[in-house]
Amino acid sequence: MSPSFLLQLLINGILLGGLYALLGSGLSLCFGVMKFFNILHGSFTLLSCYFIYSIFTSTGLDPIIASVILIPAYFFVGFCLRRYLIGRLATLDAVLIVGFSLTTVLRNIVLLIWGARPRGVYTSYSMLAFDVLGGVRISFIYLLCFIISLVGLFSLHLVLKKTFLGIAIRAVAQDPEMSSAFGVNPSLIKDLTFGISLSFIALTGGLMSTIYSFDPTLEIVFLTKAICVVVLGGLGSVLGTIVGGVVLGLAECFAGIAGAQYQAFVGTVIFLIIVLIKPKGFFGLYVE
Amino acid sequence: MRFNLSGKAFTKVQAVVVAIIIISALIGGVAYYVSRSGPSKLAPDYILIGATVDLTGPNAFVESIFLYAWKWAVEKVNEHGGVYVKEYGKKIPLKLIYYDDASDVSKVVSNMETLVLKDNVLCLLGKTGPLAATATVPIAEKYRIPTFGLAYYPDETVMNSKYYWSRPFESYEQHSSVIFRAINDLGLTTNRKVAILIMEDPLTAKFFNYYKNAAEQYGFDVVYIEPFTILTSDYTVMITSMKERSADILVFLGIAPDATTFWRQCKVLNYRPKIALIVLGARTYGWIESMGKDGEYVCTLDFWHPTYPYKVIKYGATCQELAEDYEKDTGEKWDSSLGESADCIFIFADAIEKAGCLDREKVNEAMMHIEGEYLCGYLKFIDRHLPIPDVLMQWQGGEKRVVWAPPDVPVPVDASIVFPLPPWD
Repeated sequence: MSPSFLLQLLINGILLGGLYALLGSGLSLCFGVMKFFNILHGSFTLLSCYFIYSIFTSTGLDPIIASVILIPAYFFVGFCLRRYLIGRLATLDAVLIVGFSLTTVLRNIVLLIWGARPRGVYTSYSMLAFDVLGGVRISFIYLLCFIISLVGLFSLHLVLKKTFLGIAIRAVAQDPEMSSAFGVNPSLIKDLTFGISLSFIALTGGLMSTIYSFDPTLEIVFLTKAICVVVLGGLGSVLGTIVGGVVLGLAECFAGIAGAQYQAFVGTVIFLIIVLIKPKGFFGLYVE
Repeated sequence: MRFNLSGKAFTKVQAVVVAIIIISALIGGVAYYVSRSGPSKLAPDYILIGATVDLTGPNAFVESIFLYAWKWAVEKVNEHGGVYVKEYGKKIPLKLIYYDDASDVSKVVSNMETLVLKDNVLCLLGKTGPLAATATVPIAEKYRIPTFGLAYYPDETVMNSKYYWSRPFESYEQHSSVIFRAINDLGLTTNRKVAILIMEDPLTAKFFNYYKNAAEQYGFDVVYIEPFTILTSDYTVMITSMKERSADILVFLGIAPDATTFWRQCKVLNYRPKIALIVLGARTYGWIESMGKDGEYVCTLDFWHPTYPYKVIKYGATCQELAEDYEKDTGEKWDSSLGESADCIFIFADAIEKAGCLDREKVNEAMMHIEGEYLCGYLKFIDRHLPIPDVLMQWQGGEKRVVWAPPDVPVPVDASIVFPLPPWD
């Protein structure tokens, strides 16, 4: 095994990890504040892929610009969904049941509108690649997605740390009752957080659509990868999400050395080991 | 009161009994005559064909195409008045009844039970997923109902069933040999080194040995062969190994998301074989949509194409018409599953006509004698399996072109193969 080969795997793993981190970010934020896994995460990610596909094929608009346009729409949907449906449910069990039901509804909407045929978005830069040190090659689209992921996650980190909204979100995440005593409306903050969570899903789906071809069955893959990333990194932590994503990406890439058929297996084993050693994940904040 | 007839007296009761016997005998005789004469027997409004189909699950893409083709073929048959049933002396239209199963095996089974017991269908159209396909065999056996299911040849469960018929499908041996035979036949110059990647799946895993054996049989050297799991995210290790071993011939068998990820990474890592065969993943138009010009000149295998010259004369059905209707009605490009799915209906129709009645057992027996031209070619059952040959197709100008067909398959080759693959941009 040459050093350049190992370097290639390392770079691929890190780039893939960036995308995984973005995939997990919405879920992490949602869990951090509302303390439930958003079962709809995979479905909305997939739906975003399809929206981008439709925008791209009908208008020719660049998928990354299209996903930026999709962000406010997703925010609005997330806000309304939390305010008028999820927020009104009495228990977490009810949230889960409604979530599963909505998953079915969304899947059928996808089937109704786009059918079950695999779809994909092909742009002029979809397959660009360039050489770096020692014969190592980097995919432009993976690099671009990685950079956008980091920018997105860093922005989220700044919002959470530096803005009033971020402070309010963190306060609600830690103690909703106490935060309300300081003039914060926990319900509104949760609505906004769910909207932000869905905004990240919109961006993720947009980026995913440029890399993968997709069909209605992929929702579960998106959801499980996101859960893996979030649990590895630590529920509710932005930094943890990045680390979780990169660890998962590296694990999948290096697992190929053992054999192509062991990639998923090795990824899962690493996931289980880390969960056993560090039940809160690398940077767990909110799990007691 | 007494009657005196030939010196013997009959009571009133005895007379009534005799009268009843005579009347009964008369009615019985008439009924027997009517039943023998057939044509005047009350015919049902429809011949019911049942189907359990995945419209919302993982196989929805394929099975929604099946459903379209089934409906299309039913319509074709009905345009000609239906199927002639000798027992009734008339043509009876077909009617398709179907339920969604989302490829959930328990739903598949319950749907089939409903179709048989409640809807009382004459025959069944079955599944594409291996598990669901296997689950349908016991139903077919239990109710002795002819069932057209996934070609799972040569799986023993299917082979041993008397009522389970494999829909038109290639044989593993023929399928695996096409690329190697084509290379030899077309005189394509390669270093004869083959790299093979095959998805781990109950259905495709069988191809692992078939491809290896076929390569060796036709004088090729398999320098790399690996299974991979579905939705693998990184192929760097595999692609690097293929490059290191200088494999000129690539065989990749996997679903669309895997195929696109793999091919993108081939470009990133600058691996360009001289000829690439991507089975399944590059089969549909989604391939060229996802890969654009980078998906051009990739080969794939298929067993039906709208340019096929075959037709079902009796019902005026042609391959071209089926593909055009599908594209017009759905807004999607044609798919090779259309031909074999439509053929299932035409074959059932012919079997019913041959049986001359609507008895499941007799229709099942008639299936064995099916032989003739259908949309997939000249079909004849061999051990309840309908083998149809694959041909080599290549993406050229955004369309799938037939570039090589086995010598015994009278299919028009509509383009010359582009070889070797041009370098990556």
